[in-house]
Amino acid sequence: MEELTEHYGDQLRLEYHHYPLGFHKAAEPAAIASAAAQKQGKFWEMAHKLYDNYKELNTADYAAYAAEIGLDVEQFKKDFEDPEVIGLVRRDKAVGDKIGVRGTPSMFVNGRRISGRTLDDFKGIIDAELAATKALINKQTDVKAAVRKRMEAAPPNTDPKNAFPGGKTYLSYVIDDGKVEFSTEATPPPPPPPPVPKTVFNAVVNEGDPIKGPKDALVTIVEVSDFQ
Amino acid sequence: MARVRRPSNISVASKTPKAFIYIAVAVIAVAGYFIVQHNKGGEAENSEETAVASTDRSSALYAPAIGPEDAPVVFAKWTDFQ
Repeated sequence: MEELTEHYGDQLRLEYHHYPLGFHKAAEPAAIASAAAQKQGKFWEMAHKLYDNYKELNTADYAAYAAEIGLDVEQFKKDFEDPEVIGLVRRDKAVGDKIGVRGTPSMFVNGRRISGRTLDDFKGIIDAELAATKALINKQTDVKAAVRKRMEAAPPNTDPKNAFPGGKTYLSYVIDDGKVEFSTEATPPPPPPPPVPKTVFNAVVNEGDPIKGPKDALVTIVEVSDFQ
Repeated sequence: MARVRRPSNISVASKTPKAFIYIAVAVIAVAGYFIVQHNKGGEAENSEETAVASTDRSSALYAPAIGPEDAPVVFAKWTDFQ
């Protein structure tokens, strides 16, 4: 993404929207931490910290991250639990649901969902969009109005559950009033991991059973399975 | 003994004074008013759990962004950190 912003300069605006997936248990607290950092003008710094540690995200570490990037830690802690800050994340996700986001990352260029993978894919899409938008600019239509027209003409989300009446899905939800419902309750702490079972089973290995490894190995793994 | 039918335009004096009835009706009305107000308050408290975005809070307005507001191309990414 940074390469794209460097390449296109003032021609491109990159927006980050939160969509913490439900089965990514650490994703929502991390998103709220980034929104709390945003309150002090350091979203991107916190985002880099979170991405650097994405394999071991832990709420207990976020205050330390906040200190490392120079935030007022006490204020950060307050903001982390502030319903308004939590609401920023939840609202973004609710908007994502409305415009058809189901997985991450999901990307939109002037309201059009794209599915590029490589830098060249993205450049091709952005170049085409630049040409289409610039073609709309004239004495009556400035750049912002042209972008709005492109978003207005973007294909609507056809998901019957979330389709917006009138079809102006992206424009309606992301740019305009976009009323969506979301909860601002604090995130409950994750449940403790289930205890490791202590029952010891005596798995009998009979003569002739398919086996790999020596019979007198210190550890024996017994697999009971089928082929479907 | 012959029964005498009472003319319908003659009312029987009630054992309950009218003033008592008026007071009872007034008490019920006031109690009803306070019950309705109490329920409204409860609904308001519950509504705090689910906030509805107001009309001046577009998603793009609060999105962290790089690049000018009047860029001809807006690249928006929905993602998470995990």
